[in-house]
Amino acid sequence: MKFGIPISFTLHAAFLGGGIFLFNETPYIPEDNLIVPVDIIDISKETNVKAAVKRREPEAEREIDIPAAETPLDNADVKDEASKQAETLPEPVKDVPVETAAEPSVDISPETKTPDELPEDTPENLVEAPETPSFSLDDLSALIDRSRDSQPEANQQKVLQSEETLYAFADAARRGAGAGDGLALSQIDALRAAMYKCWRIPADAKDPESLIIPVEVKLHRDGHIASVNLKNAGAIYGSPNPYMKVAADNALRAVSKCAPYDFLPVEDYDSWKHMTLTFRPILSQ
Amino acid sequence: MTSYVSRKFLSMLIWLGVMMLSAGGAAAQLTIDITKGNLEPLPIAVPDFLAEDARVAEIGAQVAQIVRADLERSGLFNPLDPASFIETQTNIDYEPNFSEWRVIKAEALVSGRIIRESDTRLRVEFRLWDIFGEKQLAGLRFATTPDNIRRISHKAADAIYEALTGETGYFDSRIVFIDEKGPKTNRKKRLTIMDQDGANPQYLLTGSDIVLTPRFSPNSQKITFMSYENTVPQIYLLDIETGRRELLGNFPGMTFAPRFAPDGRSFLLSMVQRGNSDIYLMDLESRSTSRLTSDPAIDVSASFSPDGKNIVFNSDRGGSPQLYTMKSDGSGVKRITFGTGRYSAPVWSPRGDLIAFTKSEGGTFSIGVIKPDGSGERQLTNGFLVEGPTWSPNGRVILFSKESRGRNGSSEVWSVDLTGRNLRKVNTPGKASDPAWSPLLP
Amino acid sequence: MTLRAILTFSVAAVLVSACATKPEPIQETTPVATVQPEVFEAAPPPPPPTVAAQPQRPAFVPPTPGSLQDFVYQSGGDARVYFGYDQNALTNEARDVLRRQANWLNNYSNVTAVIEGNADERGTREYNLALAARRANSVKAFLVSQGVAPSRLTTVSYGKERPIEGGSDEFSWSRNRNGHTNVNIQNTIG
Repeated sequence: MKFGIPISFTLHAAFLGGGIFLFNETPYIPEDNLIVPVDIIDISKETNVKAAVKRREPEAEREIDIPAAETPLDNADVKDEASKQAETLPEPVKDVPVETAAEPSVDISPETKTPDELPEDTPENLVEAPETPSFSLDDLSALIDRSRDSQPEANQQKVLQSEETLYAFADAARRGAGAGDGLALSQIDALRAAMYKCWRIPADAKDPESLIIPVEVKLHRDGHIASVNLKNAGAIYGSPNPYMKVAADNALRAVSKCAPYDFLPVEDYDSWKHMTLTFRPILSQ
Repeated sequence: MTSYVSRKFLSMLIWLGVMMLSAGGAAAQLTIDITKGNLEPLPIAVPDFLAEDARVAEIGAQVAQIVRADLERSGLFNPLDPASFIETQTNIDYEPNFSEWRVIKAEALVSGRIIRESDTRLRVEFRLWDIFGEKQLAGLRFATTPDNIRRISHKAADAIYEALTGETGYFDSRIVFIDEKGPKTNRKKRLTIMDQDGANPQYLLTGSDIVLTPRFSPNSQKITFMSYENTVPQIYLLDIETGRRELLGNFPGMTFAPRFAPDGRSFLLSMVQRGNSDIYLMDLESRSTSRLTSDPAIDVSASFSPDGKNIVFNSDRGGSPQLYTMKSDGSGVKRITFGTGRYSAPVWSPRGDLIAFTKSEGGTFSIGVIKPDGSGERQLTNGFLVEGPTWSPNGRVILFSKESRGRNGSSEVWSVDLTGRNLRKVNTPGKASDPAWSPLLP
Repeated sequence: MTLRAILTFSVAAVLVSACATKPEPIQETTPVATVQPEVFEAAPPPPPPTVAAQPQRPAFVPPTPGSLQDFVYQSGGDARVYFGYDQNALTNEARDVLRRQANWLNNYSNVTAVIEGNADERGTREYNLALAARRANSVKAFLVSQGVAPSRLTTVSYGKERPIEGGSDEFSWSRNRNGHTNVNIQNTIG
């Protein structure tokens, strides 16, 4: 009985301390992290995220009529043949060439990629992140809604609630045991300096400071990238703001471009193997 | 199920599970805000478009060259030297070898091809790849005639621009301007049109009367301008397709400073009566006019907001030329500039968020932008004599006239972007002034 | 036919002024352009005011009464009055010149005139058109106040399109801010 109180004290302290860790995602940027209610979406709904990206619909060819650009004065008769059409190309092939003319589809809008081209959106990627445990602390921290930063009207934060993820989470947590407290400030500065070089800030977009893109990065011990995912791909690609999608592509590109992250200390691997880099443009005044 | 409490309970359950399974505390995930980035132009690779034979290959090279030039001129892209390319794609339907493009630091790749369908018909196809994201960003196909290949190239560049910036492009557009010849004391001025990149310049009028301040209609098919061909200088309307030209109303006094309303059905003009300039709105169909200002001061250079609800104009009613806004019926006049300089030639951005203007102060002219409420004034560029801004179709770039001092001083058209960067001279056949940018061509 | 009248006047002006004007620098205009008989474009610059004032000119003969030269001579050597920067108010000097012009016009009551307003290059194109229109109107209003029938006077604004000095300096600018009384001597045959 005489060990009861210290044990109880220790356990409670660990519980509370861990809780603080868990529910406060941004140890380095002090700010109010309000816990905002989010919708829990099941896996089947998850697939609806894909639908937010326009699916190509096979259609008849649309003719874009371009009048003869030349001799505006002398040439009053516009040639009909000068009209032209723009259509999206069929999907490129990875291995085997296929008949490309098979599915002519019409949409001049460049964002008409097939959903398959968006790895961030697919539930598979969220459930089965390659190589690293498929569920991690940040899946839980996803409960703390960060999407309010970028999409206050569309809280589409995804939380996976399958049984596997619970196990996976536990597994991940076990591995994380004994990890250090994180990177030193100088190392964070180094990371920021690297990202400065790799990231083209969308300063010329309309309302650039609203283009906040959280990117989840998983790294190998040697600093190479294991996976890069948008934290709220559905909200971003479903956003009516066309700059949002481009900003997301831009952020993902920056993360890839900066690899390998071998300048981060190997001894602190546990603290940087999973990172969320939030691209949050701030224009100097 | 979706209530806040149940979710919180669930997360606590998970947390309890963690506590039971792990011996110590778990690592918090590192979250870092990245707030600063560079503004380097995006390195992009645009190899010559593939072709099945030599003649088409020539076109493929031309298309790629036009696309590269468009992208480069925007200041947002850095088209890489084709000599540095490692991979030579032979089929654009295969994914490119991303790692080889990464080696030369390309961040995007445009791979295209030209297919001859008949002697008079070509197919231009291209795919835009994100080299680091390893995905296709756009894939488009155009059918065209060989003599329209420049326009198709500009359309391709517009699609690439849009996929990589999120805003519509402006390359498939034209510029109308005044071609100038001779010294300042005897200058010939001719109405001229050309593609946005300086290609295909053409005179639109055969006469040699002074013509000034041309402006496009919203459908890019008509141009309104001022000419001295009559005893009383008036404004005219020219149909680019047919060459038909008409006098826009026979007014008792000089009419000038014409500008279309966003719907193209009416336009603003200034008319002088007894020496005083006021602003009028004329309906194109009925040719009826309504007077919008009746101040004894100079009221000129009216320009509609893109929603057609408001008008910005230039007036010296406050003692010096300043900018004012009013509702489209002439009510609610409000001064928006209060600086020490003299403001004139305002033009509302097609995006609606800014008004570009000319300012002169202390013997120097500048081109600037200001928000419609009068806040956020910024200077973009200055010089001895810069004036007359006109917006690109997407509201990102501004063209203006630039003159140098002296009898044989130059007259040039320059461009600058909204950030004040990327200042460039626009290719014109000779001396040039009064540029007006068309909307994107239909 | 005003057009023909002005054209004829232009040709006459060329003939008269050719001997007196200082040599023009070689222009690079194409032959085609100069051949064009366009009214406003091909009209040579009006006789510079220095013509009559040139002191070294030997054996001065007064111009024929009623001629363009006579009008310039009677105006005090210059058919133009000058304005301050961004001003359309007449100076005392300008009023003196305009009184003499009005006097001449009242003597030759069949002559009409176009009052041309001009501005220097330091303003934007449209604002300067409005400003120069005001200047032309100031000149006209003063001439009318001196008894010239308003129907004989028309105004036109050239903004900064027709400078008489090509330089970009205070002197040139001060000369380019003017109201030019362009009398139409040939009116009676038009």
